[in-house]
Amino acid sequence: MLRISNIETSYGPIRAINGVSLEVPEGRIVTLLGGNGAGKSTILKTISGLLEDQPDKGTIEFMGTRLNGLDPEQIVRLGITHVQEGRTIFEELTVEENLLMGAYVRRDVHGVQRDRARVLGHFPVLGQRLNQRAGTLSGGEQQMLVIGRGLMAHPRLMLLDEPSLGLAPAMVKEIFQIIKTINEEGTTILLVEQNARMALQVAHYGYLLEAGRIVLSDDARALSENEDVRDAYLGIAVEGSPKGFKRYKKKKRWR
Amino acid sequence: MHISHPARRTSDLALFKAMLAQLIVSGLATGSLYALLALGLVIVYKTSNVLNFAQGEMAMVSTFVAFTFLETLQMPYLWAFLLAIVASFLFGAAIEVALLRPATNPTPLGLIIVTLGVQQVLYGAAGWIWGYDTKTFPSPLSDTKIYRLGRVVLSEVNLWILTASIILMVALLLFFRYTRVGVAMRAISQNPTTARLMGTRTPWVLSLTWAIASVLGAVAGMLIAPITFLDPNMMLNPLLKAFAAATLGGMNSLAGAVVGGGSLGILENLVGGYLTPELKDSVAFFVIILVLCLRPSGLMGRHYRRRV
Ligand SMILES: Nc1ncnc2c1ncn2[C@@H]1O[C@H](COP(=O)(O)OP(=O)(O)OP(=O)(O)O)[C@@H](O)[C@H]1O
Ligand SMILES: [Mg+2]
Repeated sequence: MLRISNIETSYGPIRAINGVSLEVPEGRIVTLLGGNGAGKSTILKTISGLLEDQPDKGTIEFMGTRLNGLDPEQIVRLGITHVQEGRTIFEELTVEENLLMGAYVRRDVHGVQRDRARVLGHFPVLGQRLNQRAGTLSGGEQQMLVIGRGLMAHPRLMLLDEPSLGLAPAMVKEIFQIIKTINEEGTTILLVEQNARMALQVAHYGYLLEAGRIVLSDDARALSENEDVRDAYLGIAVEGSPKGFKRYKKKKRWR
Repeated sequence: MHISHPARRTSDLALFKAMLAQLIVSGLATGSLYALLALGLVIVYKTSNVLNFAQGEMAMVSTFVAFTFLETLQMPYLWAFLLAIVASFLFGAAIEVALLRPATNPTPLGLIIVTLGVQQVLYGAAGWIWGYDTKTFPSPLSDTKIYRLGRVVLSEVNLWILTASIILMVALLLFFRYTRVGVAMRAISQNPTTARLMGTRTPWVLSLTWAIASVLGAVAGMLIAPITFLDPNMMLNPLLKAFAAATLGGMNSLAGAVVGGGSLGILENLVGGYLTPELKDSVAFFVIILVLCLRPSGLMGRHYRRRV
């Protein structure tokens, strides 16, 4: 569905992405893992067109359409919704208005109503706060609103940037459950996460990004069993491993 | 023991009250014009982050266009009024497209300078086309015909000024609350990047805010012209007042522009009526300075911190 080939993205003179290729098949959840500053958000921004004149090199293709050079407002109309990291709500708008903004490109009133009901089903707390100024929501509620607003576009592909950031553990579980449900209802998802453990539980496939390059990619299950991943991202020390030294060296390179 | 004259005292008090009511009502009429101009300033400021110094001159040009429709083309008043509104809408959008949009990566200061340039150009062009001499703006409304509301009198002109302003403000309120584009405009003013991700065509929406601001100015201009007469300078003073009103209400608050305009109009009139007419025009300055010292975000404005 989405095919990224060998892209290079830079911020002015600073190169952030160095020849990344990845693929998101229709109907799947693909996760993109990596430490702070690895370039995960940059890849999402490159896809959604937020970085003008980027990528420098390489191509991005979505269902046969080349995205290179398109504006964000064109790309969202193709069915790609980018949910940015952080709580990028419209603070002065009500919760309801925020949700409506999510459906800005849609003309099918009934479909919008259905999705609104679906979102409120996923996040009942939003339903109790529809006429409240979004800026007065709690951090977690704002995060739900951001995801709910993304769903209102009824995207074919959803780019989710750290949806679990700043949520209480119980809510983190719930968010991932919701992501899974959204996917089962037909939305393809590219998921960027710090919480690698949860991400690998819901995802089908994963990529590991470091300093702007893909260093590893595999099925989610295989990744979560991979020693290096366990060590660096899942926080599970593998005692007495014969490859201990090698792993140590790798770890140093990664950080 | 001091003997007071009960009858005289009540009539004094009644007189005082009547005068107060009168000053407030006519102040409100003037203030609603400030409010229209201030609204134009605020919506542009909110979406483009620019103080539009050309707001007054744009209104002046629109008023001259209405004048041409009326005098040169001898159109009926209603037609001239409506056509001038359409023209001012296109004019506002055109200014944004032609002069502000081309600036790549503009700083707010750079854009302010551009609006100052626009102001100068419009001023010169108006003088060149219509001349600098003062003209009388034909109006079907009478300045001497008055309506009585209890002890308060309201001239026909002021009545229409109030009515038209209120209609326009309510229309604007409904537009920003209930239309898709209106809500999008507010969203863009808060977070343009995220709004683009929702699919808003930001440049187009920006032109629309300029168009609306221009219409607000045009209406204010056409309402004020029968009173102040018509010349290229006509908007200098009202625009200054509008800046004061917007500052008072809060530069980023639409409700603030309305409240600020109304209160400034009333305040001016009270100073003029009870203190001295000489100071009337200085009130706006005092207001700007006081607000900046005591409450920089204005009565209803919010300093919103942007999360990075
Ligand atoms: N606007 C910008 N200008 C310059 N450099 C930037 C900009 N945004 C990001 N970078 C740099 O690009 C690199 C990748 O940043 P990016 O935000 O993609 O990281 P990330 O993987 O999303 O990290 P995190 O997990 O902390 O969100 C970083 O080194 C960052 O400093
Ligand atoms: Mg990031």
